[in-house]
Amino acid sequence: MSWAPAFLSNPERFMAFSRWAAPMFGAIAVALGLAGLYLGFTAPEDYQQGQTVRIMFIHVPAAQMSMFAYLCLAVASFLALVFRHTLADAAAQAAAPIGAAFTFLALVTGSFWGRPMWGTWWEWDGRLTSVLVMFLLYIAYIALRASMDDEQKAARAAAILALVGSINLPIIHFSVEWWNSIHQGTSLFRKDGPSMPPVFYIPLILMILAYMSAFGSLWLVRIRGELWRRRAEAMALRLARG
Amino acid sequence: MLDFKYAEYIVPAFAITAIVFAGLVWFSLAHARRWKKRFEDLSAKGDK
Repeated sequence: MSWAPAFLSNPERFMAFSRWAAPMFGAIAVALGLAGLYLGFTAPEDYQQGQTVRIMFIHVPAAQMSMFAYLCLAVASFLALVFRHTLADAAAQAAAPIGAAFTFLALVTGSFWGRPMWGTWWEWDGRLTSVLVMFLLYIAYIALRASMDDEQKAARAAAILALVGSINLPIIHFSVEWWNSIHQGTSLFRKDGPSMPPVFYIPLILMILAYMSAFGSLWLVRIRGELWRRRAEAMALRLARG
Repeated sequence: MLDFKYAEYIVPAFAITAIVFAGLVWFSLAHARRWKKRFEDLSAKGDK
C-alpha cells in the first residue's frame, strides 16, 4: 500500500488517474443500472407490497450511498484537518453536494414508498429523522463553506462540523434496532443471508453497485472541477500581482 | 411488468430520481469544464 500516500499526496497523479477512471465508472454505472432496472421491472410483484416493491430498487441504493458519501466526507475532512492536504479538502468539498442529492433521493423515494405501504408520507421515527438530520448536516456543511471569505477558515470549520456529524452514521444504522420503528430492519446484508428471494435481491445488488459507480464517477469529476477552480484562482491572483 | 397500480407513487419516484441524476451529471461536468477553461485562459494570458 506504499503507493497510496504517494498517490494521495500528488494532485497531478490524481488528475491523470481520474481522467480515465471517471468515465470508466460512469460507463459501469450505466451498464449496471440498465441491467438492474430491467431485472427490477421484470421481477414479479411482491405478495404484500405489490408493484411498489420496485421503488426499493432506487430507494435502498440512494439511502446506502447517502451514508457512504457522508463517510467519505468525514474521512476526507479528517485528512484535510490533520494533514492540511489540498486534495483531501477538495474531496470533502466535492462529496457534500453528491451526498446531499442522494440523501434527498432517499427521503423522497422513501416517502413515495411509505405513503401506500404505511399510510403516511412521513413519520418522526428514529430512522427517518436521523436521515433528515444527515440531510441538514450536508446542507449546513455546504452553507458553512460558502459563508466565509477566508476559504481555509471555512474549510476547517466545515471539516469539524462534518466530523461531529459523523456520530449520526451509527445512529442511522442502528436506529431500527434501538427504537420501535415504522421502518423495516436490515433485509439485505444480514448474517443469515438476505430476507428476500434472489429475484429481488439480485437487481437490488446491481442497482447498489450502479449507484456506487455513479458516486465514484461524479465524485472524481467534482474533485477535478474543484482542483481546476483552485488552480484558476491561484493563477488569477498571480496575474493580478504582476 | 407494471400494470400501473400504484403508478402515482412509482412514476414520480423514478422521475425525480432521473431528474436528480441528470442534474448531478450536468452540474458536475459543467463545473469542471468551466474552471478548466478558466484556468487555460488565464494560463494563456500569463504566457503572453
